[in-house]
Amino acid sequence: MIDFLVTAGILVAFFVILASGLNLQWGLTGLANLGPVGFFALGSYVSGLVMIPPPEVTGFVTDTFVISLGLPWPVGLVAALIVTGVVATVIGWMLLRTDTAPLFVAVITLAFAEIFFLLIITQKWLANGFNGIRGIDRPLGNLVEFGTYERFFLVVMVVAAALVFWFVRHVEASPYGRVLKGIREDPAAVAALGHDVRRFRISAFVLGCLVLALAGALWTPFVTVVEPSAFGTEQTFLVWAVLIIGGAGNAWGPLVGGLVIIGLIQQGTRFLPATGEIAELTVRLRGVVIGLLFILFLRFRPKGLVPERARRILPEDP
Amino acid sequence: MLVDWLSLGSIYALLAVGFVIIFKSTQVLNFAHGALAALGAFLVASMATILQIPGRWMGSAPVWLKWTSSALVALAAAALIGLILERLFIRPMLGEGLFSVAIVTLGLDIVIRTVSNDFMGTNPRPLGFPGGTASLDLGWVVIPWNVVVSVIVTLVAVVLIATFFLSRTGVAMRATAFDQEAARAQGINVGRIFSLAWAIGSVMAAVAGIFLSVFPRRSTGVDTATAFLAFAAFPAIILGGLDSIVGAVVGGYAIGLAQAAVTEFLSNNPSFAFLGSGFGGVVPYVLMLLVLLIKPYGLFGTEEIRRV
Repeated sequence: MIDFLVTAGILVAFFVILASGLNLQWGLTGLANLGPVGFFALGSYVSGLVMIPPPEVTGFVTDTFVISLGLPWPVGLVAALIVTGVVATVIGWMLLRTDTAPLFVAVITLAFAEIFFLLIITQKWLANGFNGIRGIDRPLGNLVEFGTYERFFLVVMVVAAALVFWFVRHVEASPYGRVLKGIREDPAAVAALGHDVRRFRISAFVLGCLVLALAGALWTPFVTVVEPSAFGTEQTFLVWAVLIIGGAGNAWGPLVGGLVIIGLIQQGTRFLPATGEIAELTVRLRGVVIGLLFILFLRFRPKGLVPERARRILPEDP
Repeated sequence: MLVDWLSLGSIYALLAVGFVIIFKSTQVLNFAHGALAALGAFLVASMATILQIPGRWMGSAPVWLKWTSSALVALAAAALIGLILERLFIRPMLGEGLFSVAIVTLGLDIVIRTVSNDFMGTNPRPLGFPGGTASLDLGWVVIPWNVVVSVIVTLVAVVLIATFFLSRTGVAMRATAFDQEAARAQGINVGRIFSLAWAIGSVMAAVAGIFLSVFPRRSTGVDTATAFLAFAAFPAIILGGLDSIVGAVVGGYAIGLAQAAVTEFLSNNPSFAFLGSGFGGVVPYVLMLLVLLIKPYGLFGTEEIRRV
């Protein structure tokens, strides 16, 4: 029971971070990133490749990695952020080429996620194809008592999620964040005020991608296995569901959305009386329930559980 | 390579056409199209091999007739599903922002996929395509029957749809796409146009789904990966332009050609062996990014007035 709660808590923290990253892009700036799972996977793979020690040459070597450095986790994290930063800048430049029309942003980011996924599964020399990177060492694994690592990791994740939450809250309230919101509402007006719309858009996009990659780099030591099956398109949908149902455009949205969607619906339903038919049914219904909730929210409460509040700078007219 | 090109091209073209119909008349980018294709293929599989409707009442009719009638029943069911989905989920969003409707289809995609994957189970479901592995031998080239049929169906479907867009209802559809309110003011029943577009779109998705499941290299049937494969139609649509039927077909066959050619080239050049066998699958997406950089509205698409 307690282990269940710990795992659920870790997953909630992951999705809070992922949705916060998307919040910087869609919620604040209006960039419809439909490939968050691609950047999540990129961060996870880069950190995994940096951390995995070179495969031992035995009679039949089957594992192949493009690089395998066997370096500690912090190096993996930094590498993941650098690589994702470069990739996100290139993609951000592409987005600007199409004037960041929502449909084109969606299609480009979707294409990035698909290309990355296809490369990983078809190019075995990159990161061992379907088998993935296995046997990554957990940081501080020798210090934390065996069996309690999950709890230790929960603390790490809660701290990480809190830091990301704090960061997004500050971005939101900062002059930078206000310009982003202005761009979301009316780019022409913001340009007329003398702001470089393109630079704000690309920086917000890269910033969001870095948060997504941070989640990826944290995912690697948690599961110790980086494999393609963890990065399916349904993850992209879940991140969107968390953001939209929680409420886009404010830092609280992803937090509430993560608790409700991942904590209550996805993980909480594991506590329902699980006997035979009913147990199977709850597993099946989960995707349908989240999908329908998502659609209903878009229709009846598009601002989510925690709606974004307009900041009033001047006092109301008397 | 010719066979690969024709089969891939037809699949992409069919997927793209269904997609474009919905976009052209409702301006909705339908992310659930792949799920609809898989669902349609699964309907055919259930009608033709599992439930045998209407084959079980047809006595000793020839196999191809039984299969075709099953397929027609399945396509009718797909149209009905398209109608229901539109009525339940898309119609209420009329007048909302275009992108939030597109996002709704993202939720729709997950719902359809969860339900159909659940019915499908983990094993591929064969469609019982009567052509089987038989081929048409033209002397200089041997083409499997399923490829021949897919090319014919694509061309017929495109001609039908292109003429349809010239008809009265077709013009109403285009008017709806251009401006929903203005169309309404002209006495066009916008709701009915939406229904119609989704019904036709779903049928086209199902037709594409059939060929996606009897595709020479993946002939085992429809399974949980089919919906994912259908994403590869996006490049065809982008290349052709989001709102052009002709573009969808040209884009489909062009992307199919590129993928088949690259796959062929890589398999004949040992120096590229390190790229592995599946590299061809990446080609459509890379092409799409290039098109977006050079000509975002595609070869045949309508350019929109740019803001900022």
